[in-house]
Formats: sequence, structure tokens, C-alpha cells
Amino acid sequence: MLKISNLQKKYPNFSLQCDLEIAPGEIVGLVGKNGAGKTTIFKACLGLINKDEGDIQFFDQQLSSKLKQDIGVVLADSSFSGYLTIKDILAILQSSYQQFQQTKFLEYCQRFELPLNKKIKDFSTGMKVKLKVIVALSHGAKLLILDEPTTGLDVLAREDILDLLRLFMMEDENRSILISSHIASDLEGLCDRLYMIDKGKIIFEETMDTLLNDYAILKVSESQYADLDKNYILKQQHTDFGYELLTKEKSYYLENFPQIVIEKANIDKVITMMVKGE
Amino acid sequence: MKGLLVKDFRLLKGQSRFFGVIIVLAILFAFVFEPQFLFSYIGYMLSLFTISTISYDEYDNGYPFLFTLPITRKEYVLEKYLFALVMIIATVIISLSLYSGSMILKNVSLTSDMIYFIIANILTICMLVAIMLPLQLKFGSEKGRIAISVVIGIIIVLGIVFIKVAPKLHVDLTSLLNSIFSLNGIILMLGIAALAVIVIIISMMLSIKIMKAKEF
Repeated sequence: MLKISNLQKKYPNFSLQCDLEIAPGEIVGLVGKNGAGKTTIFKACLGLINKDEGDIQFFDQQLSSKLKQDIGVVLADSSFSGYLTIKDILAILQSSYQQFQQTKFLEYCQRFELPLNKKIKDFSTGMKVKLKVIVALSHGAKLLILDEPTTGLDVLAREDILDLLRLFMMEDENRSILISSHIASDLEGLCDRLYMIDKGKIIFEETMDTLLNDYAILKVSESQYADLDKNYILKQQHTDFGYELLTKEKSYYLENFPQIVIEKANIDKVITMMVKGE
Repeated sequence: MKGLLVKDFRLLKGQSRFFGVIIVLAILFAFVFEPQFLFSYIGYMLSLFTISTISYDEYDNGYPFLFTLPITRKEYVLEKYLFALVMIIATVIISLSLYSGSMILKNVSLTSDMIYFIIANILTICMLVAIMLPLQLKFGSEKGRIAISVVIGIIIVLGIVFIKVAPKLHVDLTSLLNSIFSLNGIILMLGIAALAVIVIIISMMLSIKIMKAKEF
């Protein structure tokens, strides 16, 4: 569906090096702190910036305007001109996309109570975000590329958007999504697989099932740490009470070290350990 | 490309009040003041519309999303020239209608000099747009205005320098101008048209190069 091989992009104070792949039917999350390189990957994929090295293939082809018909995009900081109304956007989408679904577009606008005749610059942040997602979902895309599609939304609206994405996947099992979000819980309930990026490099790739079931945080005192089998420890961090340790072998430690505190890992904790841990 | 055209016409529709003011002023030009200026006035105003669509595209960092639509950067540039062409055709239609109305009302008949004046005016507007478009694409709406002023300033300075330097180079400007104006009107118009075509082609090539090199 999407294959990024040895993508490289260099800026004066930042360089990106990345390999990433998305299979049909898969929802892949991309996480990392601000400035880690998430948006650079999205922009390179969409041809908005020139890559220095590497190859990016959509559906085994290079990106072209014809191919863009099949890709729905949400960018964190860019959308249609604020001087347009939803009615204007409807006309533009109708003339741009061969598979534009007008009924669905209007239905979604109605569902999110978006006014059709108001200029977008006068929309609230939440309304703008909803509109971006609706646009991406309304032209029969096979792949969605979503950079922070839930930023600025309240919990209920976020859940609504995530439901739309799940519905998008249910309608056709060969569709895929690449999504980035600061809100880890959004990704935990949605993604099949996760890439973690830091300082322009992918530092972690795992399926969501493995991450949630097999990864764990061990909280140990100095003395417990001394006696612990550290063969399966991926990262460690010194804390006030001793150590926090990240492992992928939760069951091994549960069975062999029942006296230590073992907490289920979540995306936020794994990110923190992978970035800050030693 | 059709989607882009729809976008620009929708943006134009949002400016309908401004458009109304232009028409009112154009009517005043046609029936009260000098009707010859109609073509330059409407032409200049509609050219500004074309340029302003680039500002609208840029507004609030709109470019990145725009280029995720199924278009190429070359198509984006070509659409701007096509839109400019539509604006110029609109200029001709509106100006000609008002001009003819004014002529009938004032009972004046059209001379060949007037026709040449009108054609030269329209071709000048075409060249002006052709100069403004790549500058606007390169420098954006804020710096673009300064760039356009600088370029027009440079053209004026070059003209003045040429006038000053010409006698030293033994070029007799008066006889040069006389010989240009004594040319057959049609040949003169064809000359200006050829110049306009060259300027437009260079402008398009530059604009495409500028847009292809941009990173969003």
C-alpha cells in the first residue's frame, strides 16, 4: 500500500532517515515528540518536500496526480483557504475527485453540525479539524494519511472521528491508514501497528497487540535491581525509588519475579522509556 | 485543473462587492470621463484578482494541503495563466460593451487609432500579468508586492538610463520613435503581440520552475 525505503532528508539542524511499510487493511500509527520528524515523513510521502535519498511507493507506483485520487489527506497545519465555504469546497472536490461522494460529504457535515455557507476562517478549531477529516473521507480513498487528525477536539468529538475512521476501514478490508497523534489513547484503540520516531530515526516498531500484551514497566528498588535478570530489559531509567525498566517479556518477569511491581505498558510510557531511557 | 478553476472562481465570487465597485467606476469612466481608460482600468483590476487568488491559496498556510489534491505543480501554474486569460477575455467583453455604449451615446465613430490603442492596452495588461505572476509565486503575497514594485522600478530606471545614454551611443530616439509610430498599425500591433507572447512564454516557464522548486 505504502512503502518508504531509505528515505533521507537533511536540514541544517535535523536529518531524517526512515523505512516504513503499510500493508493493505492495516492501520499504522506514527508517534514521537514534537520535532521528531513525523510531519517531515508525511510531507515527503506527499511530494510536498523534495527528498534527498530513497524511494516512496504508493500501490507499487511513484506518486502522481492520478494516484492522489486514491489518497485522503489531513495535514496538521494546512487546509483549504479560509475564504472558502463548505459549499465552495464541495464544488471543488466534485471537480477534483472522480469518486467524490457528495451525499456522504453532506451527511458528515450535518452530523458534525458544520454550516455550509460560513467562511472556514470563521470556524472554531474543532470545526476546522472535523472538516479536514470529512474531506479526506469523502472521495473513496484507498489510503488515508492523517497528521494529527484529532488535535483540538474534545473527547466526544475525537471518539466520533475515530468511529468514522473505523467505519472507513470496515467498508473495504483493503483500505489502510497512516496516522500520527499526540494523543496515545486514540492510537491504542485504533492502530494495528506502531512506529516510534525520535530525532529523525525510527527507534521502535511493534504491533499494538504485542505492545499492550507483552511489554511492561518493572518498578524495582536498588536491591531488587541488583538481583534482577536483565537479559530482557530494553531500557532503564533511574528514579527516586530505584529503577523503572522496560521489557518485552512481561510474562517471564511475572512468573520469575512475583515480588516486583509490574505495570502494563502503554504508548506514552513506552515512548518515554525509549526516548529517555538508557 | 478543473477543481482549481472552480476554486478560483469561488474565491472571485467571494469578492463580488469589490467587483461591483469596479463596474460602477467603469461605467463612470465610460459615460462621464475618458472611455479609453476603461480597458486599462478593468484590465488592471481583473489582473489583480488573478494575483490575489495566489494570496488566498497561501492564506493560513494553505499551499501544502492544496498540493495533496490530485493536481501537479505544473497544472497549478497553468491554471493561474488560464484564469488570467479568462479575466482578460472578461475585460475585453465588459470594456467593449461599455465602450460601444458610450460611443453610440456620444455619437462618436470608432477610428483605427482607437482600435490600436485598445489592442495595445490589452496586450500591455497581458504582459503586466505575465511579469506579476512569477514574482508573486516566488516571493508570496507580502514580499511579492515589494518585488513587483522593485521590478517595475527597475524597468523605469532602465528606460531613463536608456534615454540618457542613447545620445552618447549616437542613437536618435526621436527618429527611432517616429519610425516605430510611422509603421503600419497592423505591423506595430503584431510586433507588440509577438513581444507579449514571448514575455508570457518566458513567464510561464519561470513560474513552473519556481513552483517545482518550492518546498511546503
